[in-house]
Amino acid sequence: MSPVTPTPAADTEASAAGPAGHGVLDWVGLACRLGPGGVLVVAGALKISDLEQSVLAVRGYQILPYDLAVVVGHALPPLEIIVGVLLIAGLFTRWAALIGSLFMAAFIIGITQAWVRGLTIDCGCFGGGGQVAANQTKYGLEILRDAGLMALGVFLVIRPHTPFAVEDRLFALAPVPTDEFPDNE
Amino acid sequence: MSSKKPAGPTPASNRRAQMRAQAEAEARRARTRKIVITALSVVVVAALVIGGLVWVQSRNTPAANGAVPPNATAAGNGIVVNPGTADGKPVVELFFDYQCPGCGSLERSAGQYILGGAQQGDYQLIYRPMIFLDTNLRNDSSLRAANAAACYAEVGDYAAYHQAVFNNQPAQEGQGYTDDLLRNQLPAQLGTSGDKLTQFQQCYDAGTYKSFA
Repeated sequence: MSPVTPTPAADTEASAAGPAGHGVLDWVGLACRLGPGGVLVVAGALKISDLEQSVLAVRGYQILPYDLAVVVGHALPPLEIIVGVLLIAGLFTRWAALIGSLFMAAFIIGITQAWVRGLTIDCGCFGGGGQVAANQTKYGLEILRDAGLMALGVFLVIRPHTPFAVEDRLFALAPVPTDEFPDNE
Repeated sequence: MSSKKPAGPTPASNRRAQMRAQAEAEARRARTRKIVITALSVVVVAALVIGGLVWVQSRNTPAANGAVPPNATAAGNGIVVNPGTADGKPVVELFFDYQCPGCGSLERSAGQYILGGAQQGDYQLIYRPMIFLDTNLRNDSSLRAANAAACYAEVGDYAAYHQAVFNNQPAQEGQGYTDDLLRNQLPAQLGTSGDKLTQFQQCYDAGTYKSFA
């Protein structure tokens, strides 16, 4: 681990974790954490104050059985906040990004089936939800937004090492004190 | 980490390498412990938050205002129309939404016969108000009407109010019921006044039985 300048061919994981300068991909990764993380926290926080409305929004999709919609409507907002906080903090980045991406995939499926079936609902992504007038649906935009967020999440699943991640500090290997085992250098 | 092996396999450097490997293994174990503990904490926090939310919600809904109306079924999802007259007889449950035109026409055509049989004690009649059309019609008329009828069960003839609501169903589905109709006109038609009217209107305004519907 001597401060040899890392060659570009060096494995990316080590160079990303190291204190040496961050590459462009590292900053992209950071953006992928903060962007979707922030969106998730905001979306969850807006819904958590009115969970009954959240249940109605879930029911608006007309997929889940009546009672299961209650469970999902209650669990989704806090889960969004937790996953969002993990992403922003950079803790369990890969898992948080995976769960966040799966959320987005589920939302995309839900919105798409609503569109295809001719339902006229608001996605309820940031509170609200339920039926709206036919000319007030924004399915295309909603799907586009969720697909974008999902792409950012997938980036992190593939390449979870990012700058300023709590997990780097928290889970760093305790350095083995080299003085204790003097090498013949 | 251990890319640089000591050049010579002398006993001393072997021991050093061994100790180093041990220390590294220990560090890795400590790290794994830390990761597991952190992951468990996250899961526990998540479970606590969600559980707490559901608990708060479930306390708010039925306990705060969720009294059940008089003669409610044990499960709290319907009102027995003819309590005590047909014990042990078969149960007839009528499911309806106050905004549903089909329910209205059924009530206007057959409602009194269904009710008549119940009053004779031929069967137990249970009304099960539902509010699913609120979602579809984007209003809250079903809920307000169901709450009003349950409130009326406190002060008068529940079945009569129920009939009155359907008799005043708007010609076009989705127009809904006005507060004035539910709160003032219908009780007046049924001859409710004085303290009972006040009690009914207080119940109506408070939405006492909204969680029941």
